[in-house]
Amino acid sequence: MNALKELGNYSSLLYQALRSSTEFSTYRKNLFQELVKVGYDSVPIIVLVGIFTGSVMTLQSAYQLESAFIPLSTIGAIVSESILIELAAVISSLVLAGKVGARVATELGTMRVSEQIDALESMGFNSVSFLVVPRVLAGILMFPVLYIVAAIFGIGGGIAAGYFSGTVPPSDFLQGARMYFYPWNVVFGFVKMFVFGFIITSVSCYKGYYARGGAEGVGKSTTNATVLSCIFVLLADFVLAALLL
Amino acid sequence: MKMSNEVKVGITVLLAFIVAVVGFRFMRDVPILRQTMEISTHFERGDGISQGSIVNVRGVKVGSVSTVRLTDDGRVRVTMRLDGRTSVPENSVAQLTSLGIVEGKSIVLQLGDSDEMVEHGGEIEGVYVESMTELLGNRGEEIADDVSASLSELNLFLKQLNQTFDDDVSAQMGQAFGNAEQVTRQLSEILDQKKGEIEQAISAGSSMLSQLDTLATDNRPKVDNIMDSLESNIEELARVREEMERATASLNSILEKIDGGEGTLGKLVNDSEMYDNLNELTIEMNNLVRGINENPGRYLRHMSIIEIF
Repeated sequence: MNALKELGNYSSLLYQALRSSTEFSTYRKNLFQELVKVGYDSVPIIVLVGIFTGSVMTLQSAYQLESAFIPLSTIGAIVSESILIELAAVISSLVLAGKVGARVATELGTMRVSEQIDALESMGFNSVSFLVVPRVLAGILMFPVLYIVAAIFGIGGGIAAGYFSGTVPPSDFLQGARMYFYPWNVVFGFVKMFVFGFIITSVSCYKGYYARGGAEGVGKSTTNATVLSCIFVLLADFVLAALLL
Repeated sequence: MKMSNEVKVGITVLLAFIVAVVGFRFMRDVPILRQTMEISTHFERGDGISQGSIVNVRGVKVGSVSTVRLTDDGRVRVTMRLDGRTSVPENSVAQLTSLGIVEGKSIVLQLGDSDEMVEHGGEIEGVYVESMTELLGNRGEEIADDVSASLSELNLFLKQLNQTFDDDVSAQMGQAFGNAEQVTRQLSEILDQKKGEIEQAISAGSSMLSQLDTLATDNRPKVDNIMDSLESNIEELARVREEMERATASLNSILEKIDGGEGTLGKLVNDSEMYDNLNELTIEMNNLVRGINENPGRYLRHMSIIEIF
């Protein structure tokens, strides 16, 4: 019952956001601020995530596929394909759920409990348009960009790890990666990131927007926002894989 | 430098876009800056190749497959994107073949010897080479028939062999095996019985060896001493020998002198005069004594006892 109520609240918030998304002048300044916070500021950590995902994948695939019958290029194929389809999107999203989701939920929650949102409303501002729309839009727009960063650095990290550990020469790695490179995988990754960006920012906005009960309530809503974001990201990952592959 | 948010967003998106395009082209194996050349070929079938499959010339990768498409006449048209520097003669042949049992298929360009080179967009002949597995798949029935025929012949042979080994022969063989077994058992019994002795002998041998070992190690200083004194003795001997040599040399010279008649001894040895004189003296003395014996008065005449005493 409670879950249904939450779903209803969430949907109505999204509806309001959608309806007010035309008021570009209201949230224009906020949007760019959010784009920087979600995208530009997240690049370093996504680079790190990408490099480590790729290199760990390479080393572990090389360890698992240590066989005379499996050509080394297979490792490149496995690593690049998994990064493009799954890892660049999902691992980055889980990290961003912590980084972006928690920030969004805390910001909105604090504004809610310190009655800043009420103040905005009483001044005649559309608070959803002012606060929620730019954050969700920033998530939708910037997550695919971060996917590019994660994928490039993931594959680069994989090549580097294979080269420096001496397990897979870059030429073999690239040969395998190119042999099994399907543009659809990249499209699929973009779609995933688009959805994940939407899920993380909207869930966090919802949890923060409806926070209640002082500092403790903000903490609780932040925790909920992060945990729910992660769960829904994984769920959405499954649903997308089932639908699109 | 303080950048406005818009600039930051712009930089991020622009860089991501550029990286994405470059990365995409890179993964599609389209050289990012270099010129490429496209040529196409037709195969009977296109099993195992797809976009991105490798195009080889003598084992060196020169490009990759860009499209694989069915044509209206039921063949497969494959377009390859080659490195711009590869020159492919007109009469080259593209073979669709597998590199290994597990590795994927690839296209191998067998370069021809024509002087005319294929232009961008040109076409060369294509040959589909059956792989090992396909060969097995297509001709599997034949092979299976062969194998089954061979097996039935083998069966027959074994049956005949069985018949040849009738009861008599097999009984003899059984006996022979029985004998061999008995012998083995006896041998093993003997070994069991003598086990103790053998072990004793081995242990005695080993203890002897160890004793020898300790003896050798314990007496090492003494042996060293002995060797030292032996060495000094040998040195002394050498010295003695030298002296002996010197002594012999002087003795030799003395003997030579004696031989040559030099000196008293030489004369004594070599000169017979003295001997003759002595001989004569002896004879004279004899005569004198005989004379005195015969007639003492003759010699004592002039001598009186008083005079003497």
